Amino acid sequence: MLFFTLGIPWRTARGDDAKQAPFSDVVVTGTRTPERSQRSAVKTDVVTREESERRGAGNVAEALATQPGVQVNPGAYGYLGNVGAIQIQGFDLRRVLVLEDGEPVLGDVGGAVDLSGIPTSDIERIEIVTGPTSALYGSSALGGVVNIITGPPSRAGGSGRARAERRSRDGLLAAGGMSYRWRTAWIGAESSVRREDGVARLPDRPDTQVPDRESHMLGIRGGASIADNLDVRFRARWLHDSQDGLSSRMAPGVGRYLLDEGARTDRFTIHLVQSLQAAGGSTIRATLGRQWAANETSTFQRGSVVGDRHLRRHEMHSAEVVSATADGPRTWVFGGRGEGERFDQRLVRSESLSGGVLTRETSEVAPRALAKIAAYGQLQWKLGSLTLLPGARLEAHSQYGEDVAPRFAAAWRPVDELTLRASVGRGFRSPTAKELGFAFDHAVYGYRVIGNPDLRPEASWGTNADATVRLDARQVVRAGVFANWVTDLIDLDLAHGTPNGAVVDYRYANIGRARTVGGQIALVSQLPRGFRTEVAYDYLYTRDDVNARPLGGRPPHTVTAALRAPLADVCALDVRLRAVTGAFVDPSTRSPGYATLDVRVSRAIYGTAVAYLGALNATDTHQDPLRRGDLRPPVGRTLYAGIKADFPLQDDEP
Amino acid sequence: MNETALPTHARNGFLPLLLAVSVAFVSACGDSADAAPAPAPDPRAVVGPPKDDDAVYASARRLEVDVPPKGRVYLRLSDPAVVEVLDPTADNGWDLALEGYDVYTNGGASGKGAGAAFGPLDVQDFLGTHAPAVPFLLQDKPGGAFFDWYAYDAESHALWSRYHVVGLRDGQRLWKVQVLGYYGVRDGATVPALYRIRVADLTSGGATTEIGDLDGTAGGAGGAEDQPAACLDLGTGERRLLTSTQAASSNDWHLCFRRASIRVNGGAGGPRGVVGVDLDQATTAGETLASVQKRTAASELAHFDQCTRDSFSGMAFHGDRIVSAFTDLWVDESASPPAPRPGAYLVTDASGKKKFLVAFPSFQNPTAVSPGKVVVRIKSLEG
Repeated sequence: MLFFTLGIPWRTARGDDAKQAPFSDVVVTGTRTPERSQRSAVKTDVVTREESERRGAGNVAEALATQPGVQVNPGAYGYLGNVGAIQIQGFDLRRVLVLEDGEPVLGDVGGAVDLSGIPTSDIERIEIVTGPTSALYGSSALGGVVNIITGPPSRAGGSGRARAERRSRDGLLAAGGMSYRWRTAWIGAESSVRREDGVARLPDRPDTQVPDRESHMLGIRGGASIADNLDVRFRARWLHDSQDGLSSRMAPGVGRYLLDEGARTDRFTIHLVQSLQAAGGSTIRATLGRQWAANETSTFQRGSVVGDRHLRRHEMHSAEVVSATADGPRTWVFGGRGEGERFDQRLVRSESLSGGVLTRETSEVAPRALAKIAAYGQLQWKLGSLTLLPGARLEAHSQYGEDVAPRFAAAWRPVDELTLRASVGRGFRSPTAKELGFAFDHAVYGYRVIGNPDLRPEASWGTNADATVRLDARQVVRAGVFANWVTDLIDLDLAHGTPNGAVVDYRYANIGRARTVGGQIALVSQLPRGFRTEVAYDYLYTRDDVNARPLGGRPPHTVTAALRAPLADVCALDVRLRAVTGAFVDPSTRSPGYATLDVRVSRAIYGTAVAYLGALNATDTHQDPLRRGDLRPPVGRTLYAGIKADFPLQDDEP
Repeated sequence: MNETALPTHARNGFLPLLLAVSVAFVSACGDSADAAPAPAPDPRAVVGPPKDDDAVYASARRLEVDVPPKGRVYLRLSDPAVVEVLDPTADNGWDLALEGYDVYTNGGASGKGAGAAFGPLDVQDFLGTHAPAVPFLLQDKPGGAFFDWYAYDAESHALWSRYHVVGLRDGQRLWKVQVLGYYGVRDGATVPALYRIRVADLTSGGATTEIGDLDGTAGGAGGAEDQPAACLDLGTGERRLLTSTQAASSNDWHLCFRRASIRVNGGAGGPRGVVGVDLDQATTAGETLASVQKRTAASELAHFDQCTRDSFSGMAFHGDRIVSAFTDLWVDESASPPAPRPGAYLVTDASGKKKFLVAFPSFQNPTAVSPGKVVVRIKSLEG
């Protein structure tokens, strides 16, 4: 992956992934203008679809699981009803913005986006920008931005791709897509399905540590040039994810009984994009977006209607216009965005009472509508080998007023072999629906959690610097450092519960202050005969300045190593090793360090068709279910074997 | 954070949990192990550490209260004073009340206010200005012979019967009762508050019977407070669903089962004059959750069968009373005369909004039935 970032053209091993995806050396997320990654003023890492497949990934969480500079760890958040979450620069899932083609992905009412629920089958690449990026993208871009990008078909006529894979735990992954390009118009459709059995929690219990899971994706995309200078694209996507877990509880005198625990999520997105090429090379891009998300988590006693259902609905409507105007060495970017959100969360509880089963519905997050408008601008000014990039965003929010997020970045390339980059910027995160309006009534146990409509956004300042040195034609070293200061962190204020009779009400409040500091050094070598190695070390220091301790669940040291080797004319071997040191969880708990090893062997069988087999987490590293705060992977070794192909099988296009 | 991981407590029978949490709070804050040897106690002198003039109380207000053995004396915490109260059940002008060796808050079963309390905490908390973090606050509620009927598993929120044998006296009749379980099966589901008990009439030497499906669900977790719940007449075996209000004026029952609490129709529980006693109450403090979990209805049958009329000889039967966060914790009644135990209590006033730290450093001239003149230290808190 780093090769693409560093601009070294990647030559795949013979047979596998014979064709490089187009534009893979071009990134857009860091500056909102297409740039070659090696010349980008903002450091941007890229994981292509091919690279994600080499990593054995079927979803975005797996694609980024061994990515240097990020932590994707479902073990940190549990499974059912939770997420495969990402950390960047020590910022957790709510403070990293996830985009699809530049549009924010709707998360849950807590703001968390489940990366394991986003398949990689229809993506072209994933771009990762680290550091505060709110100047361009607004809320949640404190730690960075992950942009999942799709692309149009590259060849004329009909084309397609397919992938079929069997996995451990009766797993199945099937994905396919077809598209047709005729002159300047194209249309495509993609679909994927994935299922996998859960993992037992303990040998002598029926409880699941990881639930059975099944995901479906259906998407349709198209585009056309309706005039010489006017392009239109649309994209519609439906994602369905269902998880079925099992737990048991002991009822004294009756015995252990079973609870079916389920989670269902449906997410629909529609985006319409219009691009206008104006005179002088300027472009104007307008996007209309609409997203709906419906999520249900449930716990029911097996064989009965007694149980709870939590129903969540979330909608987002957005409109954005951004222009990029070239003016000699200067490129001006101006944009405006309007966004409206609606959400609510209800609890439907069925209890067995003296008169029979009674079902009651209560509101956990009252229906709420939020709106915001934003204006942003950025100047990219090339002064010889120096590029300056000042920018700022002004956002007005219906809930808490205005916020300003400036950023200044600079890149200097004194010689071809050396690139120096630095940036400083502000990030912010708007309070989530949950933090604003959540009502979790545990009065029977003496407390309630209630939202706080008076919350302010969290705010951060961050600075990044990195240097890329091309040692020779085959080796590149990159080193970077960062530091972030964040204030007004939102958390439950347990120290100031408000008594209300015998019940104490706890509220969310802007009570936290924290710092994250770290660095990365990476060496990428393209060796003779198609061998390629990549070694990266990441260091992270975090400090919770209120409680004078580290932030929980942030491993300080991470080493990632990758090897890609051609085994014969038609085979390739990919090995990825990731070692993570133990991490502070809370004052009485540390998570153990661990290492994972991913191995994959692929073989070209005919044309573009490739057969492969491999193992994720071959060392079978996994959580101890009885150990509290264990951040190791909840799933152990996963074996897989499959076949994939691009169509036509014999691609004779130049 | 995970909301369900917050500290929790059950609705009733909270003493074991309260004791455990309180011990944890006090021990976590650390008492000085290097205290000088205490002088020999003088029954007529001021007793109970720490002393009233200890520096820890330097910023606290001081109030002396003459506490009668019978009849309550009412305190106001803001601008501390003893106050006259015409109707304590409707008046929000008082925050704490003392009577004998009982302390009450103006909330729950003791008053119309929203008062509640938690403790004991470390008296060093008097040195701070903000309210210490506590896992919950307790309002006063009725309790009696079944006060400690279960052990609470805070991890699974399960209630485990201790299988204590309770004697119930209604006039000349005497029963022994053992709670066998809190859970039953109905509508295809395991349901809490479906009680099962074991009963034998010791007056007539009647046979042991088991009674199940006593419905204490009372509207469920989301139901209103005063939903009907099962009440049982031990004499006739008749059961009826009564609201709390109905039960409070009804003579047609001996035991009422309401969610996790079991009421007796006597004292504060009802008008019938039923009194009870927990035959095994002395063992409660030494019981661990693990030891309770090993007990079953079958294993405890022998214990039940061994209890005879004579087993209850000399034991003090009483009707239900009001228990608070202070009950059995603020006084060392094993001392002679009783002495205040060290510790501070977080108390909310009748409005439920204002917090105070309260301690009882000393009794002057205590007797077996009254602490005499009680020195109360009170500090208003922020947060």
